[in-house]
Amino acid sequence: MNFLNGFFVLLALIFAYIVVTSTIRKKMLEHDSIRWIFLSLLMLILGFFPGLLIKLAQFIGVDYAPSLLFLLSTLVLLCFVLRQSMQISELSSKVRELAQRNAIMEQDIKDLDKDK
Amino acid sequence: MLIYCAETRIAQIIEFQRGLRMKVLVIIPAYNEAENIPSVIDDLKANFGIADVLVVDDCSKDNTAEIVDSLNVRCVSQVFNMGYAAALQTGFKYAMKHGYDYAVQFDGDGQHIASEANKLFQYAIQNNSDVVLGSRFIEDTGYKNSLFRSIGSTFFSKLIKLICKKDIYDPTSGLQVLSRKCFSLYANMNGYPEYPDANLIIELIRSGASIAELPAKMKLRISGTSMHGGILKPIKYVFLMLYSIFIVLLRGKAFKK
Repeated sequence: MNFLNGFFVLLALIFAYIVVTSTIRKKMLEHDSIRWIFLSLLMLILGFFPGLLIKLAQFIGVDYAPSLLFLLSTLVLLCFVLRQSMQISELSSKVRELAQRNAIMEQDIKDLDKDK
Repeated sequence: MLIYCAETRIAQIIEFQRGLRMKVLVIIPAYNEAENIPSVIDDLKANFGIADVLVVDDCSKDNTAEIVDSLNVRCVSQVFNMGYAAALQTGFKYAMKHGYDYAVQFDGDGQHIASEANKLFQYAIQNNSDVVLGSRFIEDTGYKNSLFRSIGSTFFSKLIKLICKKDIYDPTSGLQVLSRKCFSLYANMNGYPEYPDANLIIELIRSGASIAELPAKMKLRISGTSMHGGILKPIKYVFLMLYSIFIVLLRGKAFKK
């Protein structure tokens, strides 16, 4: 295993460590953190078996194996960001719903107080 | 001899009155249970009368909430559909706010039996337990489970035995009696898990909570669709649960005994 592979493995381990400690401190939900762990597992596998990437590049027809790595990592990040966009949209609608209900409820309470 | 009898009799009366003074809330998370919920509530009123009942309506598409209101039972309607665990946690927050001593997790689909819940509750107050689980698998109660769920249950049961050295035969049981110490922990828990089963049990055992498991009879589903079905969901459940248990082991104690 040369230096580059070792670096990759180390990177995957540090990443996994950050994800796990964030989950322990409840900064991240377990549901999301499991996906990040899965990603770091993939990084780990590629770090230990760089031959896999080369075989995959040959299979797909990519001449320069590392560019496949860039493509894959870009696609994965794209998926993550897309998913986060959807999560943000969902959270925005939920916040709006709560804010609107809250405003109407406060008015109802004022009315109730007036009736008393 | 006579003095001893008098003492035990007094102790019994004190226990009985203590039981009467205990405020207990039955929490029923419900999603589209319009068909089953009336019989569930009738069962609870008849066989577990000392308990207050709270139905947490998880944005049902049918008229579950109206039916519960018409039966004169408290119903909290969730603002959004957030799932079984969130509905349960809403129930715990309600129990906290209204000063209940014990909370009972009870299913709204008719599978749980009110007299069994009462039995678990009596055990809890007599033995000062933090958690009393109603188990389908301690003795043969004739309950038939789907294959995937049986394998899953057995697997996590063995895992709990391995980690905590305690025998819990039905870790996914939805019928539980919780003391105030426990449900206050759950109510305030930031990351209350989506699947609150073996992971919470392990966390409680490691924190020194007293957990008891009693056999409880349960009925098979009357009508409608179950929450836990298919093949993909159980696989997701296993992975999430294993990861959750891993995090629990790393996290440390939930509360001091």
